[in-house]
Amino acid sequence: MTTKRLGSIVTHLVAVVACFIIAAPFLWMVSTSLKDPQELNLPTPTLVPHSLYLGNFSDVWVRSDFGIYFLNSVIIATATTLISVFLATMAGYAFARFALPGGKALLLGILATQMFPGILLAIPLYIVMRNLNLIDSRLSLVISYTSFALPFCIWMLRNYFLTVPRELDEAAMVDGCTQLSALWRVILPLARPGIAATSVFSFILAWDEFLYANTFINSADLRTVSIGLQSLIGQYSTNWGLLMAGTVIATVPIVIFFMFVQRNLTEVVGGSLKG
Amino acid sequence: MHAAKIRRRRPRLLKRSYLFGYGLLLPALIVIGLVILYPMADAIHMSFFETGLLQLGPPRYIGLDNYTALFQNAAFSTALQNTVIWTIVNLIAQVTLGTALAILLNEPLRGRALFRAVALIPWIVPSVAAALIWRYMYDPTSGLINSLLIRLGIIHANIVWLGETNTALNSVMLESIWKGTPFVMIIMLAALQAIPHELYEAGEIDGAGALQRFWYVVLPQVRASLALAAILTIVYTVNNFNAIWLMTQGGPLHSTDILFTLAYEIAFTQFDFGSAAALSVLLFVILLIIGSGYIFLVEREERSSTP
Repeated sequence: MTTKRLGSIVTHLVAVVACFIIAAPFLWMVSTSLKDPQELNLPTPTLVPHSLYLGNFSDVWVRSDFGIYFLNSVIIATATTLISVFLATMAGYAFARFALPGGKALLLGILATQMFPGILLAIPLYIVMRNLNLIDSRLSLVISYTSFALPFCIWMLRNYFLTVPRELDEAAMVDGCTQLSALWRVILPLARPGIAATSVFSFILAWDEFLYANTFINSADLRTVSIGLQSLIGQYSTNWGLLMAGTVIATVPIVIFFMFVQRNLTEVVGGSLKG
Repeated sequence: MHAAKIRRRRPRLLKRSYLFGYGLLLPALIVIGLVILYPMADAIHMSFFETGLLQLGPPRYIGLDNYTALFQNAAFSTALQNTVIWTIVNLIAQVTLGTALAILLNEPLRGRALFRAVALIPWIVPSVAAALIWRYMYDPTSGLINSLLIRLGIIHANIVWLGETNTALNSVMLESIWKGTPFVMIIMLAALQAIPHELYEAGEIDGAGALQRFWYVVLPQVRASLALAAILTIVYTVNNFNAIWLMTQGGPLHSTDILFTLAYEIAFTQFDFGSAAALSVLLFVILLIIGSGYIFLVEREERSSTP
């Protein structure tokens, strides 16, 4: 065997082992979620479940109210995304197309907010929500989530619009469009992939959020998936099968979204990183 | 004919352009002002007052007392220390592993697309789910890690990974390294793919071995991406509340508390808003310094590389 052939086999082996180690926690999560209570109580944990037990999923969805938490998260993440993407599309287009005086500083400032520690804003926002009587409401979360979703979307969409050729705007205007209708009729339909990808990322950010949800929400029926998951950790003992089923439910929408986005991923992410 | 039309229109367009441009920008800026700038100013303002939910009477101005009190707080010193360790270990581990993975997955492997997809799993799994999965793996009695290590004979009794002060931080760091490495891999993979093949070939022709090719061909090309991956990892790690809070809540005995989680504790378990605000502002200033350092380095690099 040539050294090159041996090297290739070793490389493949390393890749397989590395990927297995990386995937292990994920596989463990899925495996646990499918184990029945007796198997979970065994003194030594089994690697592969004895049978495909779906009771954990139905239990966590109905008896542990995960269905309600799921709905809350969907509502909040969707609302946050709609607002953020709407505002960010306009702002991103403005940053991409116009050399506005002070524009560069503004953009840098917006980018800088991405590194704000959430706790810095959480304290005053908590006080504001108390004063507005919005504690324990989905609206308080939508407002708070916009603080990190909006700058992110502006950055992504600005970079995306930079990849849309300016000539298209100009061609539309030559054909008689005003700037606004050029944006609305010509550019936006073309920007659909970028807007879709940005929306997905924004949704994912909101979906995974924990700090604000933990602080602002008290009622059990307004909990998001993140809080719901944490609530399954018991003070003395935890039903791990139930919890893992919950984490699977929390992960599935994200996996689906990623599969949808991955076609556009390199273009959108690459543009953001270069920008 | 069309080109002439455009050129003639431009000067007239310019003035209306600015108005239109700012007009598009305004709604977003207003919202940013309301949900980011105003709270930030409020927090800074609060940090100079004695204020909180458990306080009787109005907020009292105390100048820098909140800040000086921090430096006498034992929990603060522990949290500061932890933050440094937490950030440096995560940074080195994630950048090293992420780059190594990127190099590995840049090779012409069969099933490479599948490998790349699998390597992204930690990034895709929501951070709350990831933290709880690892919490389960670290469970003393029913967790995977103890069971595996005992079966392999590496340890002989169950270790309470997240409950002992000498193992807790390391245990949580392992989770955050697992979670964050794919992100670095993505950045570095994109950078590696941008290296033209001719450079590798030129290196080979000049007699460079694999290691030399890495040092002299690959590294210079990916330096910018490496720096970007590093700064993004640092910022994300310093602000990583979820991993720590969901695994140990900063315990046991503050051994996993970082500045961020300590600020949260002070704010929402002790309800001392003034102190918490001061700590948050401090944390923010630290991040600003790090961020400015990065921008400074990038500008200097750009200036030196442009002829």
